[in-house]
Amino acid sequence: MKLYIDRTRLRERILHDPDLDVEAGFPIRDVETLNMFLPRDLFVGDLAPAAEMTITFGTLIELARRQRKLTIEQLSEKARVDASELIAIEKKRSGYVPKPRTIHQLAAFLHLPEKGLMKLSGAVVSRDEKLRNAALRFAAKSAGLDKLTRSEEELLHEIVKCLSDDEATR
Amino acid sequence: MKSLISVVDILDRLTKQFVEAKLYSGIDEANLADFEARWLPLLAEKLQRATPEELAQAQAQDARWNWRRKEAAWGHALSYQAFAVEADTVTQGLMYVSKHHHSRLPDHLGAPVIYVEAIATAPWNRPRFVPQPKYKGVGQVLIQAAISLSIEEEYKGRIGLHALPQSDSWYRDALGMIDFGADPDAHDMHYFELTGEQATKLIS
Repeated sequence: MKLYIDRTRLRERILHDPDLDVEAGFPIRDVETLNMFLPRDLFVGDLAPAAEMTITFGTLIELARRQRKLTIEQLSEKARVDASELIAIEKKRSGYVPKPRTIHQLAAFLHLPEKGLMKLSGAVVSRDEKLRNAALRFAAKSAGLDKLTRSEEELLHEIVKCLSDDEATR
Repeated sequence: MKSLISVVDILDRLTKQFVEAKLYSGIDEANLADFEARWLPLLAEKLQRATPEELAQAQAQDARWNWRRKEAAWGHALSYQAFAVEADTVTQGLMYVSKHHHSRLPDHLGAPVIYVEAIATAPWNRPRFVPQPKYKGVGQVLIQAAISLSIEEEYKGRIGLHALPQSDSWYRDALGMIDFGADPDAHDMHYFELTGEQATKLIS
């Protein structure tokens, strides 16, 4: 392949071109989701808040699953995600960040707000203090319960509402 | 397979002198490594420090364009082609195009166009990303490559693309491409198309 513009003509064009941006291609509408595509070792900020949120994410998925009376295997089949990934999520394995597709599939099947789940999962480093506080309250209150009690149902409702409010304000 | 297309000149904004750059067809590990080791840290740093308003200005959207994934998906597909511009032995710009799109112009409806899937210059070359951008002309070189490929494929120089909002003016006003307006199928990005006649003007 050859370049059809003459080298001198190209120089003239560049010299007289306005100083404008040229980036094109499919967009990112919500810039907050950008972080999930960056390798985590490139983050220069504090990842501790994101790590705290992942505890809530695991608890939320577990409660939402139990609310529907599903085993991990059944949820895996219905949401079309790997059971091993669901186990890692619910066990809140340290530093584990689920794949974007998994978050998308879980959000769709469990009818949970996808953007909020992105933040909770740790895939997105969020600066949202309100959500972070709600997530911590949720994780603290719901830890250690084996059965989905009425109070757990309320907790589940509260965190989902918080995620929904967060999404509605965007 | 990466191969040299041409040696071109891009403008060093600081010295106001042209410097030699190389335009390649195809990208290799060195280009991907540049993106990951040189581009991404700047994009990541900007993201961490920016307010949401600044983010909107920061043009960091292409952090999401994982070029390694694109190369894995498209690198060996015949209908896709990658291009790279290098200067100072560093990747200054990257572009992916595909050959299976068609014109939206009523007069050329159905005629094939080279579609620019993604085009980006290194963060340090972007006027709105850094206060003192380094090189000017990387985008022009890449667009000329897309036009040249279109001519070689007998598409008469026709190209099409969806521009990021901050780049609309470049494609509409500087290159004279036809603005089809917001495309609801592409997150309301504006779709632009260059006709064969316009392409001829741009290369002559």
